[in-house]
Amino acid sequence: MAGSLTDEDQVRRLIDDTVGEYGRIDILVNLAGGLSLYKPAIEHSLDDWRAEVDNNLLSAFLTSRAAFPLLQAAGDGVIINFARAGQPQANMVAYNCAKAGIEALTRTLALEGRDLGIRVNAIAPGLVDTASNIAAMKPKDLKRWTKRDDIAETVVFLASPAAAGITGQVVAVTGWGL
Amino acid sequence: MQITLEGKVAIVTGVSGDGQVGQAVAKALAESGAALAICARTQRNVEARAQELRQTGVRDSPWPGL
Repeated sequence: MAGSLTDEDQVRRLIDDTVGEYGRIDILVNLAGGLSLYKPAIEHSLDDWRAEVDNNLLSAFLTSRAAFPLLQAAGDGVIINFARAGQPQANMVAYNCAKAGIEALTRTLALEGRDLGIRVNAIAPGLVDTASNIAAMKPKDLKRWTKRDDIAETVVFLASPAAAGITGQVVAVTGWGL
Repeated sequence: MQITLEGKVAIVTGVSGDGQVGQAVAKALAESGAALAICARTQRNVEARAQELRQTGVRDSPWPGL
């Protein structure tokens, strides 16, 4: 589905259409978001702030809120959010705050999900070897970058019954970039 | 424990460009047996990623809500 996850109606449609197609939802991976602004905090307009926080935090809240009853109904529901590894860096104030919010969202939903059989965790990637990051940063080598396939395998693990004992956690996946 | 997601239905948001994290996450979930609904901001990206996933021979075709 193509659309904006900061729009309640479109999020509802995503959930409803998925249930219409498959009849259930067991796993929600809130990967949408990313860094789109790089400039000092005092240069962030109100619209800048709202767009960055909404894309990275509101989207995960809206999808999680809409999916929660279905994840409960599935009996062993899982939400996986995406935070970020390491400390906040300069020139990305709204992004930093949104990702800190993702950790709080993860913990809150985990607490509220524990009697509903819903596990909620976050993955905190380091600098990932995505095509766009490599193009933007032109590294000499990728030894200390996080492999996107390692992130993907961590998603599978956290989504699976093998991670039944893990909820409310932020799991850093940095590879050798720790 | 052998990890399998057979019989599970997963939504993955942010499955956008070629070479991005969403592509890898969707592929790994599909290979583990999950049925997928993927979404992104642009229809072109969603269709491209869904097409790639179908070519990997996953049992349940990823559903992009076309």
